Amino acid sequence: MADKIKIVMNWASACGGCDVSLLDIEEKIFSVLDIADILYWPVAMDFKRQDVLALGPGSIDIGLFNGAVRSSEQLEDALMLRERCKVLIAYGACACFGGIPGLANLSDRAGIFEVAYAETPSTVNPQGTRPQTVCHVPEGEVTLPEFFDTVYALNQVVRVDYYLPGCPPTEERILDAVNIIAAYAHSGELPPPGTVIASQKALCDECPRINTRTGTRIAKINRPHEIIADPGLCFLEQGVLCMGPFTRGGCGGTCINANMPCRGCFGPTEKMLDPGAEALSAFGSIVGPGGEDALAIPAMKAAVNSIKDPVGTFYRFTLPTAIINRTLKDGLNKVKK
Amino acid sequence: MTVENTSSAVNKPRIGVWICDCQGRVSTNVDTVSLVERAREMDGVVTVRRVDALCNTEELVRLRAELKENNINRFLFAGCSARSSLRFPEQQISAVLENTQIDKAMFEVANIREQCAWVHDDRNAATAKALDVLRMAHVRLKLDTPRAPATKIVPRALVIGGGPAGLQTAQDLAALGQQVTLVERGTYLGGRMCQIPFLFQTENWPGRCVSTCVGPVQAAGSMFHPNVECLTASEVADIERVDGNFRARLRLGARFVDPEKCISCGKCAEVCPEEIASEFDEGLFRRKAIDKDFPRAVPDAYNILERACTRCGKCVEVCPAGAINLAAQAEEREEDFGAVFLSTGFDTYDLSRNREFNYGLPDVISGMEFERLLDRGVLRPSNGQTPRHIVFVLCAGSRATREKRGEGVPYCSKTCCGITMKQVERLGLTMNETDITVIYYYDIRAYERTFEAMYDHVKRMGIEFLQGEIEGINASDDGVKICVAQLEGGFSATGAAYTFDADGFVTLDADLVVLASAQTPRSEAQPLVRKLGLQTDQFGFPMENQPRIFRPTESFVDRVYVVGAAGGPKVVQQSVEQGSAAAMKAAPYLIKGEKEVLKFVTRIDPAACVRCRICETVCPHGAIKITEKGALSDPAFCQGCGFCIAACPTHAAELINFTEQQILDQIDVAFQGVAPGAPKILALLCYWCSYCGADLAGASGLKLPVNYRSIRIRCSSSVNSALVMEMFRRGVDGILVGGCPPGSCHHVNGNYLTDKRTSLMQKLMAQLGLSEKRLKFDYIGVPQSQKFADIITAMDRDLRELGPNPVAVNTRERSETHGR
Repeated sequence: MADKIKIVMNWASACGGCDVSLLDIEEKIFSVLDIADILYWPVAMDFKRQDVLALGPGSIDIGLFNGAVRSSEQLEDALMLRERCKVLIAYGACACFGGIPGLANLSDRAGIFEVAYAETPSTVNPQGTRPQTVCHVPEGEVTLPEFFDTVYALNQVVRVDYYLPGCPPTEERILDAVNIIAAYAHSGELPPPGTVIASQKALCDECPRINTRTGTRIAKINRPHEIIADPGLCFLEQGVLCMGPFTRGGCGGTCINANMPCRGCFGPTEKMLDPGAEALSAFGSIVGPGGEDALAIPAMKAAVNSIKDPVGTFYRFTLPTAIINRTLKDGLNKVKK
Repeated sequence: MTVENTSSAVNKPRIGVWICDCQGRVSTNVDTVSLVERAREMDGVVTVRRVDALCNTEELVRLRAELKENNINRFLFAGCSARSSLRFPEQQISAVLENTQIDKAMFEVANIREQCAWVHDDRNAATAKALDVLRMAHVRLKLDTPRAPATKIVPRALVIGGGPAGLQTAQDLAALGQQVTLVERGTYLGGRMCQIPFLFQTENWPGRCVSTCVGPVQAAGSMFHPNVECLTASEVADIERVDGNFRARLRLGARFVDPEKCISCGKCAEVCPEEIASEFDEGLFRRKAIDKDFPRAVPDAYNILERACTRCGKCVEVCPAGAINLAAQAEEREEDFGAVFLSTGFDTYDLSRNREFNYGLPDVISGMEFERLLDRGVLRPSNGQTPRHIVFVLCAGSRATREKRGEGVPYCSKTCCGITMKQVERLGLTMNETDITVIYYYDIRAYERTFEAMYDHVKRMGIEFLQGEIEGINASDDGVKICVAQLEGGFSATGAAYTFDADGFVTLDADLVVLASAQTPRSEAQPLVRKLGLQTDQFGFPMENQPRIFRPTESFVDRVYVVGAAGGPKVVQQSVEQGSAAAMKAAPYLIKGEKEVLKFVTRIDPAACVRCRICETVCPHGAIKITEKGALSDPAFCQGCGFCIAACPTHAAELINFTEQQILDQIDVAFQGVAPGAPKILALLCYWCSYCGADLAGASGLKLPVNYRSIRIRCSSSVNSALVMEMFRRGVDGILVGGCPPGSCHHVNGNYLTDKRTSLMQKLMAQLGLSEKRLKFDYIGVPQSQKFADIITAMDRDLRELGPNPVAVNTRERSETHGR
């Protein structure tokens, strides 16, 4: 390809860290600019949505989409980019799995509005005003995007070609993605669809602490703030629930190196049936006392149930892509007569 | 014509389906004729037969012939339960498949009798269920794979510890023609047995053996058997499990005295200037650095204790046989074994832990020390005088439960009461001038006819028995004072001698106190226990495999046997019995030289394994080994419980013939016959207890909702929580996981693990708005079929009230809405 390729970056339901992460590759961003024209990047460049809408189908080579989809506007953005991008990359944990915003699926629109527009101590809203999608004012009609009940990962609303996980993606993996872009710019070659730009194995595989793992049970769970962790010792040996065994590697152990346990932002590895229930099953097996004494059953149960928030612990970044992707209302819908 | 059992032949399923009417006991409630028709349509099915009663000998002969004629390579039986049938259980099916072209892993059973025809009355509904059950067995069978080749077992046994138990194992195996290496840490064979002068026989009192007689005889049985190599003053420095066998590094103590040359004249000991406390005499007496522990010790040679010898060379000078080499060095060698017997004996409870015993006083001694006094003369260690009053204290450091004040182990060592009766009886017969008092805690546990008779005998001798607890033992002017506290609710006085004061105390004057101390786990054996991967009980003794009633001496690790007091308190006779039992247990493997691999074993995919060792943590059978390339599951040790597949974070671990695919395929076909609107209930029932409990519901005439299906899983703890979630996604409305009753799990605690995992899963479900009533765990034993029926009936009611499982609905809607 002689011409520069055309890329875009979009920001949906996300904290902005993904955009910053792209800037964080520092001068290497120029190597991107050598091979690519950035046509749209709301956080950094002064292009408007209209500019993208003006482009024809398939006219953009690569779209980087960061953030989950939780509003009609974000859904439109996703559809807009999907139509115009030859390659669409889910950039960051939110686009890949729903990310932290995905935990909003434990509530719904009404519940979230109730907190945001009524319950928080700083809210003064005596009329009980709520955002409306359409509002008539003297000047005319004002519209707002619809706020969905449910947060979606990008691939739940449009087809996704590649996944670049992380909260945010790490520099090395971003450069992997840049290399993919560069290879595409030079030769038009691309990896197989569905490729996750990360390790194929779980984090422990690359963790230097794995050699300190002895296979002992976790007698008592320590939450990260409850102990000063030994920086050389596997977190599981210290009773800290590290999500490393359940999480794709490739991050370089960013959190581990900062002496914090893995929280799971690179998402599940390939064979897993459900991102969180796997961790529940494994920790449910090794936490608490062992042995044959039936009198120890309450202690065993108490040990695992000291996990205060199973969803937040096991599905921190992945709830929208879990088998149960949001709070259900089981038993509240009675059988229809 | 026969078909070679080649992989291509196995890959192309030729399924034979036999459907049994059970002489009407199935066909009355299930239309087996229609099942035949439907079976013919199933993938890979080449032969379908309906028979009246397949279990008849004549039918079995015909079955074998037809399996061969039709080149069947997978056998599907629909009829009675493979678990609980008394005429055609899986053992019989295995026997039928023996010497056919069908591998013993390649059969499945559709239980259309116990859990279908017998528990449902509506013939149409029962037939619809029977078809589902047949479909489930069929999809399981389609993905079954033949067993791996049998593991070669090294035809040599390693016996660790040369006490009465180990010696018995060694000579019994030798008698069966097996090769045995016996490693004894001490300098002689026979262990503690040799320290005890008089051994009672537990079931034929007053038969009485003298250890100087039986010790050498028992030792000679191994010592001089050509199949046994006895290594004394040696130890197992390391042991690991390698390819289904055991690789041991043996450290052979330096042979300072060549037993071939030594003539046991004792001249060396006469000139030896160095003395050391004799272990044989429990430290009460001393021996020379070169000495024989006792005259009739085997091997019949003097030995040098390296830690006491100064290499002065005096012994070398006087030895007439030239048997002594002070420059001898210890040697090491590595050897493989097919079976390991841990007969390492016991430690005695450390009496110094209890300050009230004042064990440091010279005239306060342990029961084992008293055995040495019985042998060498019962004199006070402090002054060598004959004691006038000897007090025996039972349960010294035993039965330290909540009520007891002193420290100790919580269990009863079961041997001490009998041994003490023997000791006081001996004294009563020989030392008429000496008073004897026995202080016991709550009761005397003189069990069986012989001990009780002995107890009765010594009471008639006039020996005083005082019930109480030791408050303190202290030195007095010419002996010791023992303060005894009255037990709560206990006797306030003995018949004659002692009465507790108003505060509940009585003080005894004695000049020798014998503390009957507990038998505790051998601490020196702990590294071996750990390396062999044995499970230990709450007291530290290695546990026997379940059901332990039928598996005496077998540990949870295949072909590792825990023999004698190494596995818990025992007397000599019981240890010897265990030695024989263990030899018999191991003999088939050693004689055959191989071990068949089970149908269900774990395989770990190195490409997905990250060495997190969670599988190793949960494996109760020591089958997991961590290597550089990842975790390995040894098929010779794996007992197929499936703990690892429920715990493996990356799904690297897979249980062959019980794969996730096989389970999910069953879910997909299981509920086709369920009436619209009826809840789809799945019972995942553990292989031994719960599944049989469910079977017996039918045998007991109980009736169940026709909309439940069951899968005979491995241990209840083989069910991964993510798999449960996936089952909900696939539309199952309610799931029951059944495990063995408390204390009965065949894999230590799979039932508890599942119980606690389920409680956490329910917590998660509550957070996610999925009713906890959709997932239930319970302990369901074989006789608890009513409990099973009640649970299923209650689930049916609750699930009807709840309505369809919203996970499946939600998933469906998701895929419909966002399929862009």
